[in-house]
Amino acid sequence: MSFTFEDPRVEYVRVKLARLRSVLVFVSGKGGVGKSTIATLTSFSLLSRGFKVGLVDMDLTNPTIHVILGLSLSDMKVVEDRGVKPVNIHGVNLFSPIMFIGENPLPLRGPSIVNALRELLAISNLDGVEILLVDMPPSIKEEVLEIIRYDVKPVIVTSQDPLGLWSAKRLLRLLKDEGVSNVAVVENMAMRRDAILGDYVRSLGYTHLGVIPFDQEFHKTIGDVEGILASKLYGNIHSITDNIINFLGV
Amino acid sequence: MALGEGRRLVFRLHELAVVEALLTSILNLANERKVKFFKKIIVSIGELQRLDRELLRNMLIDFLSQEGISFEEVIVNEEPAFFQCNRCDFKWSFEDVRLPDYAREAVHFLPEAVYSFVRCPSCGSRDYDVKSGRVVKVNVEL
Repeated sequence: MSFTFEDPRVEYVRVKLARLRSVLVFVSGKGGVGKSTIATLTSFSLLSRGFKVGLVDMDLTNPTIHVILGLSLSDMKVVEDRGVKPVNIHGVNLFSPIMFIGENPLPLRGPSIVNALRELLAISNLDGVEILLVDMPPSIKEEVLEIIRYDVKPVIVTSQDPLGLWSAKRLLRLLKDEGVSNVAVVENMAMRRDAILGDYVRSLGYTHLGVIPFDQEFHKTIGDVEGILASKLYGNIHSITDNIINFLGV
Repeated sequence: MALGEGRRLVFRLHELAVVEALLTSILNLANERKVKFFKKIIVSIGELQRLDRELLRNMLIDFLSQEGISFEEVIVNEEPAFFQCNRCDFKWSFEDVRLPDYAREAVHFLPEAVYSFVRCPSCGSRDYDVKSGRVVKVNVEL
């Protein structure tokens, strides 16, 4: 009798992520809603609350978190240690495809996206990480379907404009239909303070984390961690961190 | 405790992540079937990974032994990598490709990085399929 495991990485990643206290994945159906920024700033906010944090830039074909953090290509070198060691930036452990591809394009079709996602999670050395944050590309397709195979908590980031809200609702319905039990929504770049999706999100049994006002000055801090941490946007994310911690259940 | 920690050998290599993945599946099977002996364990690794097969085999044997699993044979095969262009249908092999060391290293860690460094030798496109050589598979005979 023989047994074939077509891809042992899937079970390995499942076991590896299950060792962590929580895995938060930032998703959206639409691009340009501030997902990478929210994921990055949430990492620092959780770090400031005493958690050991890992951050994965899973926007494989267009990773940008290193730009937000002002890291150069020479900062993003691969160090091999029981897999690949993260780049430590002010206490946050960052993994990014930039470590491998530098500034070259990485055009991936469907199956390669799934393969790369599994590989990056499989080779990342998560020793010491308690909470892992994963910044996903804008997608309602294979990236999301793959990541929800694991024990993760998706956070949908949306803008308050009709296009963003429409995409967020579509993504919420997908996650509900796929049986994902813990999902949260944050309304970002908001022009009004009240939540637009609050009732809808709660009607699905999910969590609304809050509303983050649009910070017109934030773009000036890109690349400067000190500036980012002094920004209004960071202050606003910090103010919903209790909600995030409750959602994480840690 | 993660594999390799506090054990006889401490590995620092990327191969360890692959061995951990293989071992997770093999140990799950051993628990499910309530067995401690396997006749044959055949691992297939794609050429793109460029893993050290002998090292990987030795690490796997070492960890299996430490887990109390015995076996007749452990084989690690490498599947050659071939590509086919989606633009012009040209086919070529990884063996034909000349890459600088840093690019080979990148592909070793993240095989999809091949799309960053390798273009179709005929038309220069990055839009091609990896037809083989990307596999990470294990077959276990009871």
